[in-house]
Amino acid sequence: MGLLTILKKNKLKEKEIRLLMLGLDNAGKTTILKKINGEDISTISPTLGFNIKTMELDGYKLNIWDVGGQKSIRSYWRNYFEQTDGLIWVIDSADRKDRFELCKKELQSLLKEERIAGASLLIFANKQDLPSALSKEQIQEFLELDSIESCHWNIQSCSAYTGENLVKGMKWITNDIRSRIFLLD
Amino acid sequence: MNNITEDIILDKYVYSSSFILKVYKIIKYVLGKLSNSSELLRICQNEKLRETKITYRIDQILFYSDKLKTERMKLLNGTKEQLEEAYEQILRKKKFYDNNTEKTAEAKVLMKCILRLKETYELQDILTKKANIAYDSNNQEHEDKLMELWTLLKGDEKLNSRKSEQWQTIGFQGVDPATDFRGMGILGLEQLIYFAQNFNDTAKHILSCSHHKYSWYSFAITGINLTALELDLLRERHLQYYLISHEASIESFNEFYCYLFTEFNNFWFKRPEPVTVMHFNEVFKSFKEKIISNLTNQSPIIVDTEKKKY
Repeated sequence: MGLLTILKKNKLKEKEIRLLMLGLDNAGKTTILKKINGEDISTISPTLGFNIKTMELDGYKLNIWDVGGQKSIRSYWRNYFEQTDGLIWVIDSADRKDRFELCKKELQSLLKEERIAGASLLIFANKQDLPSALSKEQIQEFLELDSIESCHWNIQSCSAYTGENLVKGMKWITNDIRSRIFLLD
Repeated sequence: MNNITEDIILDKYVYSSSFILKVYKIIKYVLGKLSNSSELLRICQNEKLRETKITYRIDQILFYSDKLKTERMKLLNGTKEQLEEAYEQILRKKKFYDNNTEKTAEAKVLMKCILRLKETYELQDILTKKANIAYDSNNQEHEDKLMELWTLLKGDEKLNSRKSEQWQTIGFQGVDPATDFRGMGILGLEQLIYFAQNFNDTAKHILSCSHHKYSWYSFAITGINLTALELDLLRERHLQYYLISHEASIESFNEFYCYLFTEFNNFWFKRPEPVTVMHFNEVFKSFKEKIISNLTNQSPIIVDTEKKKY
């Protein structure tokens, strides 16, 4: 049993999970965070820097880091990789074509990072309440998610606006992290 | 420094603690019984107080009173009939009657001040409506406003196209500012324009400060966050004294925005240790506390137009 395993086991005892939420600007990261937490989502402004929220789910304490998505901030993302158990990648499913290309590029370069290679990956196909939103199957194909081998992943369609499927996605990532840490024994 | 007056002491030490507020209410109750008077009546009688101060004190009393909750709702958010009805109820409850004769002078002061207060709450509605108008790229008026902001800040520099990386030079997130206004809608844009128009040199100076090599921040996005902050301050009643002592208008609200912007820039570059954009939320929280303290102390609100070098 290596040091990392011991660290992870200790962490499990405390039942704390660290999640990092990333994605392009205007994907809806802060809105997801606030909606899950039951806060008002009508007065959100773009995130400079980051927000942290702590919430309880199935007896686990989730620390969620929501980092701004604008281009000039993306270079700071790497500062938050350390000790991340799970990555939540948020997509505006109704975005423009060129932004989807950009989204694919950013996600792929993120997955090459060693420090988050083992983390569970949840992809939120957000803004499903909009008529022009692509389905999660279309997004899955476009982002070539099936070629991801470095980690466990799951794509979940959702709407931060209505709150639909947000908890479902959070439950998946919490469960996946839990089972993954047990497997290391 | 301002004189520490009764209203400031109340805000700082009494209303801020539910325990002290309870004790204070018991004392008021006993005094009221003994003198057959009320705090509200005494304030309306006090000839030494300026109308601004009286209005602000009435706002405090109405907000923290348990007995006047329904009257407050009717006065500030209701129809004209509801206002008159509530006004009459307050006159009775708060001893504005002497053996069934109305104390006319005091009652008049009360009505005048209530009408001024009502304006501050109406302003809140007007601004919320503006914030709820989402930026719409298909609306020519909105598009013209956006271009106006560009010209005010960048002068002769031409935009290569409507969607352009150049927007980032004035602190938007990407190639199209349309998605950046979010919950602040058209209000966020109009406030940026107000600042760039009425304090053009200062706005340009602050824009250049925001390009700092290490401690850079995004000018326009910060502006949108400042609009959100100001709306919070308004909804949490911190702007009441400012609005009463100036005028409860969009223009006063916009002037305060310019004050916020210049104060934020100074605050950002005067941290004990230089900060980066990743400290933004932390810095923004302590900035809000500082502004609330300025407002509570009724410090003068002056837009700092001095071009400091950072």
